[in-house]
Formats: sequence, C-alpha cells, structure tokens
Amino acid sequence: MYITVRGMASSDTREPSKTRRSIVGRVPGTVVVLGFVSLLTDISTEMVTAVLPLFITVGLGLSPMAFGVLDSVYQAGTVAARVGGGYVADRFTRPKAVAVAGYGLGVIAKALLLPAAGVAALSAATGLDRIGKGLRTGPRDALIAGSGPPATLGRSFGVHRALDTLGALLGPVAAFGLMAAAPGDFDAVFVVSMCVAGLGVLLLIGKVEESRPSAAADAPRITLAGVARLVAGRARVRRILLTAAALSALTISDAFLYLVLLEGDAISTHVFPLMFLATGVVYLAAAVPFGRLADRFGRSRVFIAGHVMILLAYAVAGSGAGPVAAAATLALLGLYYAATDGVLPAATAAIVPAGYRATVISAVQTCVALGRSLAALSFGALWALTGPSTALWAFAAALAAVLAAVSLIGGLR
Amino acid sequence: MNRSRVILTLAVLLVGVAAGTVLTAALGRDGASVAGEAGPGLFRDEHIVFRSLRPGADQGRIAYAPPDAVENPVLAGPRCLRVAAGAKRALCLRDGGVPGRPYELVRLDDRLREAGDEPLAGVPSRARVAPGGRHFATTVFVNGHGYISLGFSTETVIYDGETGRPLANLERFTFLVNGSKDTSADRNVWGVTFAADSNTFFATVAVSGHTYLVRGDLARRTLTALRENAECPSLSPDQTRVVFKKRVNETSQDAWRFHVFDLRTGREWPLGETRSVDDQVAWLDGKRVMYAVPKTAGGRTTADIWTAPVDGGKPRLLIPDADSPTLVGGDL
Repeated sequence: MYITVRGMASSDTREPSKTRRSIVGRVPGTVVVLGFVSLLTDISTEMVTAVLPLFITVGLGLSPMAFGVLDSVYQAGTVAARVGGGYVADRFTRPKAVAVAGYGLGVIAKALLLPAAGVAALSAATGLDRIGKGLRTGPRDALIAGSGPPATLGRSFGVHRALDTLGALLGPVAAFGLMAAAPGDFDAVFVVSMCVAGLGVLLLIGKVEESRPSAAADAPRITLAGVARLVAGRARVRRILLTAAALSALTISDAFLYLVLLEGDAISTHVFPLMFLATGVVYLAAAVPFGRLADRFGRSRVFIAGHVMILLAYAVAGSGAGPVAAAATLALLGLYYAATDGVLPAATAAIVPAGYRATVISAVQTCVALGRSLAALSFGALWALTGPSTALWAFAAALAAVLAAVSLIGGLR
Repeated sequence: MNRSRVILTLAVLLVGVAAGTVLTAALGRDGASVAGEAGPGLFRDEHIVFRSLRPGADQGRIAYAPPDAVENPVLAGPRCLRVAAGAKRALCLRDGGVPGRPYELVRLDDRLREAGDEPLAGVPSRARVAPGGRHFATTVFVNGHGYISLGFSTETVIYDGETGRPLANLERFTFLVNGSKDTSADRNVWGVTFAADSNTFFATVAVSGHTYLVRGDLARRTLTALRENAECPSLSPDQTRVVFKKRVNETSQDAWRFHVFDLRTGREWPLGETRSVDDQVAWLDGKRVMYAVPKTAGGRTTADIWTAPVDGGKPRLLIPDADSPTLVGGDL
C-alpha cells in the first residue's frame, strides 16, 4: 500500500478536483500529503519526547518530580484549543489556516526548547505544543474528510493514521541516532526536530488545497446556535458524541495496561518502550485494512469491534502473565487503535453537513479525550483501592455492558 | 509561481540547517579520547572516582584522583550519566542508544572495563555499591509509571553484586510506619545507601506528599520509617551518622538543605552548605562529605564537586567540572 500511496501524491496534488481522481483503490492526494505532514510532525514531536526526560534531569539539572503536576493544567488547555480550533475552522471556512496555525505552534514550541533553562520555559514549550496539537486535529481531519468521496473515508483516515503512526515510531529512532552521534547535545536534537516540523508546515501550506464545497462559498457562516441546533436536531450526532465519551471513559490508557501486564513480574519496567513500539507497529499495519473494512461493512461495526478488541485485551491481560499474554494484549491494543482512531472521524464526517465537520469532529475528539482522562483517574483510584486485577475486571465488565447497550441502540447510526 | 518558490527555498533552507546540525554534531567533536582502562592501583589506594564534565571528547567519562591531589585526574572507562564505585567494581549508568533500550546499567571491573549490562527503566538518578561489593543499587526516574498521575516516578532496584542480576524492586517491600503497614499505592523509593553488612540499607520512601528516611532489610523485604522529611541518605563509614537532604521549601528554586542525623543520639544538625543541592552525598572520610553543585558555564548546565565538613563548617570547591563522586580504596 505504501508505494501506491506515494505514487499518488504528486499526481493528485496538481489536480485541483481531487474527488474525480479518487477512484476505487486510490487515495486522494490531499490525504497522502496530510499523512506526510503528520509523519513529519510526529517524527519531530517524538524526537523531543524521547530525550525530554534526560534533558530535564541531565541537561537542566532539574528534578522531574515537578512535572507531573502540570499535566492536568495542559489537559484543560488542550480541550479549549480543540473545541475552539474546530469551530473557528468551520466559522470562517478556513480549516487549512487553522491547521497551519496549529502545526506552526508545534514548530515554535521546539524553538522555545533551545534557550529553555528552567521549569517556566519548559512548561511554556510543552504547553504550546499541546495547544497546537489540540488546535490542528479537528481542522486537519475535516480536510481529510473533505478531500474524498464519503464511501472511502475509512480508508482515507486509515492511510493518514498509518503515516502518522510511522512518524511516531521513527521519531525516537532519529533522536537516539543523534544522541549516539553526539552524546549530550540536546540542542542538535531540538534544532533537527524544529526543522522537521517546519518542513511539515511548508508541506501543508504548499501542497494541501482546501476543497471547499461550491455551495459553501456563499452559504451563511455557521454560528454557535447553528451548532447547538445540529446537536439538538440530529439524534445520530448526539449518539456519536455520547458513545465516544462513554466508551472512552472505560478505555484505560496503554501505560496502565502495560503496568497490569508487568504486575506479575517484579523488575521489568524497562520493557515499556518496547511495548509502545509493538503497539505502534500493529496499529501501523492494521490502520488501512481496518479503514477499508469500515468502508465496506460499516464504520459503526468496526468501531464497536475495536472496543471488543480492547475488551479482549483486558481479559487476556487479566487472565495470565507471561510473554504470550503480553504479546496478545499488545496486538489487541494495536488493533483497537486501528479500528477506532481513524474510523471515528470517518463515521462522524459522514453524518454531519460539510460546513460543520471540523466543529463536530473536534467535539467528538474532545469527548474521547475527556473520557480517557476520566478513565485514567478512575482506573488509578480503583487500582489504589482494590489492586490491578479487580480494577481491570471491573472496567472490563462495565465496558462489556456499555458495548452491549451501544449495539442494542444500533451503534453509531 | 512566486509563492511556491518561497516555500521551496524555505524547505531547502530547513533541510540544510538540519543536515548541517547533524553533521556538526557528528563530526564536530574535537579531539580523540585519551581514556583507556584504569591503572592497577585504582582500588588499592584511596581515590575519588567521579564523572568528568570537562568540555571535549571525554565529557561524561569516568575519572579518578587521590583525595589530596585532585588537580590531575586520570580518565578511564566509558562515558556515563551517573557513576558509582566501591569494592573493586564500578557502575556506569548511561543512555542505551536504541529506542527499545533508552537507558542501561553497565558493570565495570576493577580496571573499569565493561563486565556486563542490564537495561534500566528510566533516566539515571542515583547509584551506590555496597561495602564489600555483595550488592549494588540504582534509582531511575520512570515516565508513565505512576499509578494515578502518570507523571514521573522513581524505580529503585537492588542487584546482586557478583552476577549483576536484579534482586529486588524496593517498591514491593513492606513499608512500616510507626509499626503498621502502609499500603499506599503512590509509594516511591529512592537513594539507597548500604550498611557494612550489605543486608541493611537506608533509603527514602515518599508516600502521599511525605518523605521518610527508612531503614531497609533486604532479607526480610521491609522498609521501616525512622524519620520524616529526609531524602537521599548517605551512611558514614563508621555506620553512626546519616547525611541527607531535608526539604525546607516547597518551591523548586530553593528546596533542600543537607543535614546530619546521628543514629545513636537522634540529634540532627545542618551542614554549612547554604545552597539548595539535589544530590546524594558521598563520604570523603569520617569528617567530610562531597556532592555535586550544578552551575551554568558557556550556556550549558554542568557541575562542580564540593566538599563540606559534617560539623557544620564552611564548604569548599573540591573538583571543578565534575559530578557523581564516590570514594574507593582505604577503609571504606
């Protein structure tokens, strides 16, 4: 799939009417370009993430304990940026401009790391990076949704997410390669990271065309009241928001699942990076096939199936330790991401008018983010109270119940 | 078009800057290393083993010097992030260089040659070799290991001194406060210092925002709280006193002061060091401790090793551009 996709990139971007070229088996050029924008941005971000703990402790001589606290503050900021970014993109029908601003903030954040010498500078850089990410996600997904026929949106998002994940996997490799060549030279990592992020922004500016629906050109601007009417008037929009929130609130984070796997084994948290790697590779491999499955058999079904995967992951992780259980859990976790992360915006885009896409996709992703925060808090508390096994089975039971209820009411449709 | 030409120019510029940075970083390291293996006298005679931070090709490399002649240290062994030595062996905590193994612990023999390695779970923080060498311990910062915050937490592991295999993760030990078990899930343990019998050790336990000086028992797998607000203890060679850092301020700017605690009398008094220093001290002899004080030089964060008498006297600079000191040889 990779070669086909790359071959399409150049030919498609020169063609203004992309929809005509997206015949069966091909992916719109805009989607591929956006995929590469995300790939570059993720390489950039993950490069920094890989060396940040070392930079904080060794480079700056700070105690890392101070940074856990700031995390929740950033979460709140990200939510505001996410919702705001989606709405502004729709209101001024300029998703690309908002996406450029979001990706641009990512570049500035890396530049801020260069003179960073204390908690304040570091917090500013990290916070700006998160805000940028919140800002760009909805408009970017709206651009993907707007660049191909509705029937193949699942595959489009699959291709984008595969490239995105590839970037996340390559970032640490690049960072460790640089650190091996020049130990302790954090500035080199930050400069290269900033350049890579900058290339992503340039690619976005130069090679992505906004394909605005012709009717939208003279249509009235969307308003908050219009958004409210949309949510109030369409049961399917409400259902997708509620379902995303409810299921996410029962989805424990990767790190917790890894911890459950490690609970039986005393001294092996050093395999954490390998676990992230394994999950990423499965996600990368399955993103496109699952997107196609979603297009063929229904996005709702695949989305539900994805949550069945993570339910199975809970069951496997809760039933046994050992390398086989760990491998199965990681594979199921990767499949869960492949079946949900790109499929959800594809499902969302299909049920809202084009003019409201960025807003509603942002809203759905906000529901997912809030749900996951709630899940992390409640799972952490439950773990502390009852231990990992009970907490895991409680979440599994609740997830099974919600999944059954969601299936009964007809999934996302 | 004009616009696309601008974009192309910028893109070429960015690629150029990135490539230039990579090349400068990779090729620009001036001078070849002068370090080989350590001489046969390293552990026989008294030496301070530390990490040299002098700029150049050997920045981060292990160095050693007699305590009374620290001006011309000998460079030897690998480059590390944290170093500890004792009982004819040394530990080098460093980055592992690959995404699947970001950090590792390298065991070094009496000539500082690599003798084995183990992956580490996070960024190196502390390391100590037990007197006699039967055990050693490391503390690292782990990202995403905390149960509730998913922020940073610590992991402290005690290893078998001979084989280098991990023996125990101290987070799993039974923690006793005032005789009763504390089962808080947010427990963190760091900064081990071993007693002469190598089974007893002291460390820091943090739960729910409080830190405790604890006495650990490796065989019984227990940690017993002795005293509140004490981090990174270091036991004196005569086993009677502990120097630790005490939190005096909630801000990160001016957080700690070193204090001495007499285990027999329960008396506590401050060191003469008036700066806030985040390090686990090492004893230089029965009367003095040494520790690294960060400084900024040429836009980079580096450190000097200082020494202070435990009777409260004035500290003085011991070794410039260095950190991670431990004393080997002699009677320690």
